[in-house]
Amino acid sequence: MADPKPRDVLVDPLFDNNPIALQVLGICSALAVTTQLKPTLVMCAAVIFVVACSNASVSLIRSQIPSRIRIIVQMTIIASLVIVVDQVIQAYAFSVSQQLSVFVGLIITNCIVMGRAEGFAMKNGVALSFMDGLGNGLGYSLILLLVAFVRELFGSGKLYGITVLPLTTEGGWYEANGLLLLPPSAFFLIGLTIWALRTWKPEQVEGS
Amino acid sequence: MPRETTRHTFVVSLVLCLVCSFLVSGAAVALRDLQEENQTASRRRNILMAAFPRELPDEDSFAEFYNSRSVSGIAEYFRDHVESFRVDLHDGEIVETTDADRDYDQVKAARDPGLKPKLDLRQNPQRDLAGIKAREDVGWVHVVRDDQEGVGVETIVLPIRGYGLWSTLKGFVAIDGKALARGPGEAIVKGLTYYEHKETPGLGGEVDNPAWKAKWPGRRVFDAEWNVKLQVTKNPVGDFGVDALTGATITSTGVSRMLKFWLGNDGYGKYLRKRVSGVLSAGTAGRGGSGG
Repeated sequence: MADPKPRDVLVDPLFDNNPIALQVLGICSALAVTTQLKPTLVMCAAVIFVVACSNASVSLIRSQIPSRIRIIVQMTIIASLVIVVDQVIQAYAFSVSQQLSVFVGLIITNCIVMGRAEGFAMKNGVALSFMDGLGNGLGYSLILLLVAFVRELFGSGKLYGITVLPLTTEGGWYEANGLLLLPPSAFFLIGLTIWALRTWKPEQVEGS
Repeated sequence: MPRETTRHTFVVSLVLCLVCSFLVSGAAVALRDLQEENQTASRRRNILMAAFPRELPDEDSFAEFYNSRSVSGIAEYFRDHVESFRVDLHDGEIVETTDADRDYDQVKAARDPGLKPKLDLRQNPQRDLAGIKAREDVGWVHVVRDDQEGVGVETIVLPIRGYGLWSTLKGFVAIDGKALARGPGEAIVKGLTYYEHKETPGLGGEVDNPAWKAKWPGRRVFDAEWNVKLQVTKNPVGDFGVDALTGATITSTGVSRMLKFWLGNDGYGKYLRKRVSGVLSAGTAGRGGSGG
């Protein structure tokens, strides 16, 4: 990465260097918040905002940060942004905030955010770091939305809260797949996604 | 200034902390009112959902009502139609509710380590049917009064909570006040709703299923001696039973036990008796309390 181009840092994390599928980071929240599309969407927006803004802020003061305390400085910035996001969600999307519960707060410990701050923003300019954060947030969101789409559709017969497959328990014909409502199903779906992605792009296969 | 000196390290951390704390406290202060409004509205919406269950055919207007109304619409409805007051669970008397008590949270009160409860469930574990470990002395009662097509409706909404399989389920049970006034044997359920639980999705989590909740309205609550007979059971016969949830024996039992507790003598039972026998001075307490 001698001289990364803005377009590359934005688009690369979507398929070529996806934080979830290739780096296998940020899995915890990917399991927890993806039973329905609506909370997933809010979670994705929150992560995109936090990772883009934390990248930009860290990059802005990178020449001033003493290397001894750089990790704690990054943490402070990330934590503050996450608290602000959490407060905003509680104020403007209350029912979603109850579903997301602690997982908004746990963005602080999301390895993607820390990883981009330490790995990219400490070495690159503000605009470029912002784009990189945006790209990684979008890459994370892509996988999460895919998982949530499958889990909500086949787990509860709905998409974004609207019934698509009427359930037998509510007088319809579709027998819901209960497994998809439990966290392990997200593991299976992410695993299948990684398999599909690496079949498409064999260069991502490790050790080859 | 060289950036690796101790002095510079202190300056950077100090400035960073100040900026971040302004940001965080600014957001918290600016948004607090909106957040509190949301919490109140959410509590009120849950109370109305118990009082006017979705599946009742003649309550369509109310399904519309609680799905579509804005926060302010619900506040307005509460001001006009809902009386919220607090009762002493130990003797069933109404407790005075001042403005300062409007945000009284009975779940928090039960957890308060400084509280010396009149009923100590730790000392009497056999009476702790709901598995809540500690019971507060004072609980909210919400009475919804509404005239639908000239028929006066009076619904008593009581907060309930208790342990299921994985988690404490929190919700409201609504009882027809007019029917109850004719005697305990006449009392029927108007609705039951849970607003918080972490039971297994698809099994115990089906307590949220509208089809299951629709089985509650019209079930009888007490026998003539005020014993709680309402329960979740396999193959229910008679007026008291509600069909258990498939594959969720423990959650179903939990629902039965928490109803038995909260409607019984250690819960709101004493208040309900006094209400029916007419020894309470009705409607003394402040209207429009927000608790729950």
